Order: sequence, then C-alpha cells, then structure tokens
Amino acid sequence: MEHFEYKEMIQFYLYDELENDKMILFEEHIKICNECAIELESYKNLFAKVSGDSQSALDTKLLAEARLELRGLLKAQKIKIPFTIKFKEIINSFLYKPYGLAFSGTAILLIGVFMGYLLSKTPSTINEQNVSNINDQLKIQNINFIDSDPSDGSVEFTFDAINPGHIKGKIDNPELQSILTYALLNEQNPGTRLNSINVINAVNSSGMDEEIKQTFISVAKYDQNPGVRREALNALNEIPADEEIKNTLIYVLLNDTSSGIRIEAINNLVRVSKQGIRFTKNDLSMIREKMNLDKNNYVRFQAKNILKEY
Amino acid sequence: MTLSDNELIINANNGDVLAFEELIYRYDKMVLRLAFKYTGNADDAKDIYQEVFIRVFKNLSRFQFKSEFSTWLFRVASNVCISFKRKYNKVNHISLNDDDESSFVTEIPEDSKLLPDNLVVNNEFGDKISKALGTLSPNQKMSFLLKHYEGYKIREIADIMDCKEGTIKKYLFEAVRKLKTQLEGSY
Repeated sequence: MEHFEYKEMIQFYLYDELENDKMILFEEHIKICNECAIELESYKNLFAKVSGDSQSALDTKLLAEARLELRGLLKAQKIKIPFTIKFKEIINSFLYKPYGLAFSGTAILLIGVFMGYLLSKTPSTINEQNVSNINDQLKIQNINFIDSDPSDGSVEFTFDAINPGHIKGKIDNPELQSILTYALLNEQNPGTRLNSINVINAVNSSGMDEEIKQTFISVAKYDQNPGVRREALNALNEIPADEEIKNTLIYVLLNDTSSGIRIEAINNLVRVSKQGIRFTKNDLSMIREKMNLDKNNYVRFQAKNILKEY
Repeated sequence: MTLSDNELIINANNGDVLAFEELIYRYDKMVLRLAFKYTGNADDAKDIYQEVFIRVFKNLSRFQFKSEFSTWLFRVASNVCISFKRKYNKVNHISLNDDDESSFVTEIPEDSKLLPDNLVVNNEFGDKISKALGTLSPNQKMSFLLKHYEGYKIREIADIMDCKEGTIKKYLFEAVRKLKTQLEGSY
C-alpha cells in the first residue's frame, strides 16, 4: 500500500471505521512512519477540539422559543388539514391493498345507486288543499321556486319544514342532558353553549358521566369562545382530578391564547397537584417552559410555585 | 413507564397530541443544534426546526417502522437543511399589542436575538469552526455535522442522506481536509 493511502486512512482510523485488516496495516505503518504519526496527532487534536465544540450547550431560550412557535404552527396545521387529506390518505392506502380493487368497484356501484336515488327522489308535495294542514309550529326554510310565474294563477316551490322541539323535565333526565350535550358541541350560539354547561354541571358535579366529562374536555380545549372554554374548565374543576384532567389542563396552559384561561388552567393545575396527581418529567418540562416564557406574569409565577414542590 | 419511540408514534397517529410532543422533545434539541450549526444563524435554525417538525407531523402516519425514528427524522432534517434558502433581510417583529404581556419581549435583549454567537455557549474555536463550515458544500457540511456533532456512523449517514457509503467518505474526507487547512494553528 502506498504512503498516501495510509494518509487518507488517518481520519477513518480515528472514526474507528476501518476494516480490521486495514486497521492492522495502518497501525503497523504508523510505527514506522513519522510523518503519518505526526499527522495522526494533528487530526486527533482537531477532532478533540471539534468534539468540545459539539458539546457546547444550546441556549435553552432558543429551544424554548422554537418549541413555542412550533406549537402555534402545529395548532394551525391541525385546524387547516384534518379531514380532506386524511380522507384521501385513507382511500389511497386502502386502494393500494389487494382487496382495494374489489372494494372500489363495490363502492362505485353503491355511490351510483345512491346518486340515482337522490336524483329520482322528489320532495313531498303538498297540495293547496293541504296547505292549511301545515302545523303552525313548523319552521319553513330554504324556499326554492320551481315555477314562480303567477300569470297562470299558480306557483310551485320546494321548502324544508323543520318541526321545533320542546322539552320540559327534571334536570337529571338523561334525554334532556343528551340534548344539552349535543348543543354544547354543536350549537352556534355561545350563550346557549354556556347555559348548557351550567345546567349539565348543576346535575353532574357529584359524579360526572364519562361522556359528559369528555364533552367538557373537548370544549375546554377547542371551543372557539373563551367564555365557554373557561366555563368548561370550571366544570372540570369541580370533579375529582385525574390524569386526563391534568393532561387537559396542561394542553390548555400550553395552547390557549387567552391569558385569563391560562391562569384558570394553571390554578387548576395547582389544585390537581394538591390532590396528589403526580406530574411526569415531560409535564414538568412543559411547566418549566411556561415559567420561563409565558407572556403572563401570574402564569409564570404559578408555574414556579408548582415546580418548587418538585 | 417510558414509552418507546414506536409506541409514541402509534399513539400520536391516534390523535394523542402529548405523545407527539414527547416524541419531538426527545430529539428536537439535536435537530435545532444541527440546524444552528448548519446555518450559523439562530433565526434560520428556528425556521428549519419548524419546517422539519411540520413535515414530521404531516407525514408521521406514513412512517413504516422500517428504520429508527431518529434516522427518519434526521433524514427529514438533512433534506430541509440542504434545500434551505436563507431569508435575507429578515426583520425581527415585536408585537405592540400584548398589553400587560409586553414584559416578555423586554426580557430578551434584542442584541442577543441578532447575534447567533450568544445563543450557544461562546468560544473562540466555535466561532472559527462556524466560519470554516460556511465554506463547505451543503453535502460536505451535513456529513461532517452528522459525523462529528451527532456521532453517526458512516453507514447511518449514508442512510440518512440517501447516498452510498463511499460518497459519504468522500464528503467527509474533503470536509476535514478543508477545515484542517482553515483551522491550522487554532488547535
């Protein structure tokens, strides 16, 4: 082997990435070649310096800033993409499987039948004799004229008739609660959602149904109205703490843009901690981040208080 | 009980946000350090960091468990770094609407945001090596950082950078030769 070949091996010898036979030859060569021995020392020094530089600590503030920004971005991503892309992915992954072809054929057939049904279906017709039979309570929406020309003395249109419901009963009636839970998640009016929380909470604070608890958790995390989110947090505050509630509070603490709600969350976390729910290492690291970086003084102060106990 | 990377991935794919965060926190320091060393600039490093983890978030459901998660992650990070175009004339924005929360901004001296040297524990050799790294080609630099800063084997670097081992050896050889010349007398 030529001298220059040994020289080229130096760096890989130090990486411990030479094959055995080459390593033996290299070590033999070093014993007799002063130039290569000096070069080896020089590489060792360089690598030791580089290694020292690689160990230099990354600034924790930079890391914390990057993490906070990432959270914001991820939140935006979750809002932006979920259904369409996921649906596409599911369909694509399914179609690549062997039974995908058979499935797609069946699916197309079913879609065709369904479309045919929709196209041939005509809305129920009400003759003018029956118009007076329409219940006064019906809410009429989406009127579409088929024939709006009154010159021949008649017109024709379609409409949706929604029958309003009315329920009166005890507040612990499961049917009533089920409607309120639905309203809590789907009603557009935040005042209604707020009222729903208050009513449900008045009944369930002693022993909350799992489904209702999950609804409150979901509302505390994702409702668009801060007042509703806060009320949901308060409702969760009234039941015995558990891991799930702790995780929800941490989620809210990290992600909610309203400082008032973050304060609510951190206060509840203090309570959770007093009830004996332990924080994991990861939880503490997130709380520590809030202690250093939250924009609100009180949140930082309370985060510090929690950390003091650990 | 600590969950493995693969368990966290499964949980994250089932919508567990905390599992995804835990997974990120296992490796994000390394990714940020790699990005910082690669670009030599704190803002660019953060941009790369965000891009890497957004890609991971979007594609985690496609991860097939054929390699280590860390290898896959560094493959993403390496691609993002190499294709990264620095945003020149970047302006630091400070929110004026934070009311009582504005104290947060004042806690970070503006100078420290502008000078990357302050963002890692400063040392003279670190400055010199940062400058010297700036003269390497993207592939040479990435190979060098993965080898010397992250401690990967050549075979693993080849896997991360989707190259042959021989190619990585060439990158490393050239990178070290150039750095050695430029850092002569500093070590």
